[in-house]
Amino acid sequence: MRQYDDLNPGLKSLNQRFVLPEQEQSKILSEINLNMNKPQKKRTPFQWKYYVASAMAVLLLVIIALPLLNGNLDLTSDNRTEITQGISEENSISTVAEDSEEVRYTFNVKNNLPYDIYSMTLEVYQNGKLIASPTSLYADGSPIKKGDVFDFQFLEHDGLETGQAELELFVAVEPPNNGAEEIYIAPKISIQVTNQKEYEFELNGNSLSKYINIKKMGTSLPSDIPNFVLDSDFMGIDWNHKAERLNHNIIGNQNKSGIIGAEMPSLDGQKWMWYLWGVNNPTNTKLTVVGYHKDTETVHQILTTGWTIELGGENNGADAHIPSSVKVPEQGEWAFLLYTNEELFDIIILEINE
Amino acid sequence: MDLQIRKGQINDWYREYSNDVYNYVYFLISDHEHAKDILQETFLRAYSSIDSFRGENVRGWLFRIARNLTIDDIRKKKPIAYFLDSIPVIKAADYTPEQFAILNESEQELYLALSKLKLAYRDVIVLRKIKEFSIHETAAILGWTENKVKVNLFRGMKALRKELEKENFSHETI
Repeated sequence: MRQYDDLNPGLKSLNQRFVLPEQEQSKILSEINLNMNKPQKKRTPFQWKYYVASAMAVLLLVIIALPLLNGNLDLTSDNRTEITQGISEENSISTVAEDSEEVRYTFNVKNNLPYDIYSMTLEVYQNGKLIASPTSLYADGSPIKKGDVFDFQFLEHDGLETGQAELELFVAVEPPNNGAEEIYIAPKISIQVTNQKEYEFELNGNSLSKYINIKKMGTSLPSDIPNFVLDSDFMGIDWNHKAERLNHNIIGNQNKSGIIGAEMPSLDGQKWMWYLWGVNNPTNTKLTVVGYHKDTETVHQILTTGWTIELGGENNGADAHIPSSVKVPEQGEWAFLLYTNEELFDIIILEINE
Repeated sequence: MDLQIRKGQINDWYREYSNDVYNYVYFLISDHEHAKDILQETFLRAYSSIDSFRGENVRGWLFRIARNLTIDDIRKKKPIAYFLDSIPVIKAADYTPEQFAILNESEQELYLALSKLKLAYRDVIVLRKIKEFSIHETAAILGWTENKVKVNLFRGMKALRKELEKENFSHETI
């Protein structure tokens, strides 16, 4: 089913295919110019023929439709089985795919609406292109209740890449009815796809209107953050493990990491010296600093020169060190996540005052 | 507006948009002769109502005129089919052989599948996906709300995929 997400280029190219031959094109232009030079024609007269024909058509329809309406039940049950078959086909195809190819991303969408729905179609766009549009529903057509969660899985070959993506959700709020079931649309939201595998979303709305929206749960990351920083890194913060005073006026975690300069007011820009223990090859190691502000639950770049900086060698008893310019945007409790060569190394918990 | 300026404007617009408009109509009705007639009539109508044109989006405005003329044409020629708009207006026999032969196999499949859809779906798919108008512009051309455009596009693409599946399936059984 995924191959049909390639319809867009095919449709676009169809535009070039039906071209009016030049000769005919010019002929029509001359006709147009000829007509423009004539005095303005009267507007087309009342098309009574059309109205008579339409009335006849309606009459015929009524005559034909009456017996069909009586046999209606048969038709609908046929359609229902068809749809179910279509669905179980889809289900079995995805199981086969799972066996042979690993799932790269999973988007979990929870129905948090105060009513039942019947299907969810998630359209994922990147760079303006539709990457995939999987639909989830119960194979037996039973309603998706509040609290139910569906997993949308994306395989490697689906082509979902790291970076910005837009999601739009189409929700059927009635059981399938030949394509005429009512559909609510959750407007597009923008998310950052990183190396993180699982993403959680909640579908919200109220029982009074058809306006629904989809919200990404978890920490929202800035768009330029390195892609090895995961949502889950922030869930592992132990706020009780506060930084302590070590030797040489360094504040941090014993034998792991520390800072000199953090006690000076940093909201307007300051110089901090970073120290790390247990780094094997400091001059070949890059340090990435990510700040997480507890109260606002937001993620910030701390070093003024970027997210990442190269480390220098031994200093003050530590294996690696580097001075840097920093700017801490708010006061309050912070967790500074330190990554060495793209792996989470340590977390320093500090209170930053004005 | 000065008559000469008007005529000049229509000529310029024709040079720029005639192919665009022609193949739009062709996608809707698959009839070369009628499409040409509608193309001509579109620019003549544009000429007579150029004073009411507010200068925003020429392409959208021309398409709107072309579409209204196309709908009138469909109504005139096949009034019964127009009412039962779930039945496609085009029969396979209407394709001009030369035009169709230019397409490669997958384009033929796509074109055939598109022609089997009901008018509302074909309309919105051609405008959004082939002509690449925005949702706002498409709504203006069709006289629909933006929400109706989104919902019909969604259903239309679904129906299109289903048609393609059917075609593929029939190829396999052969």
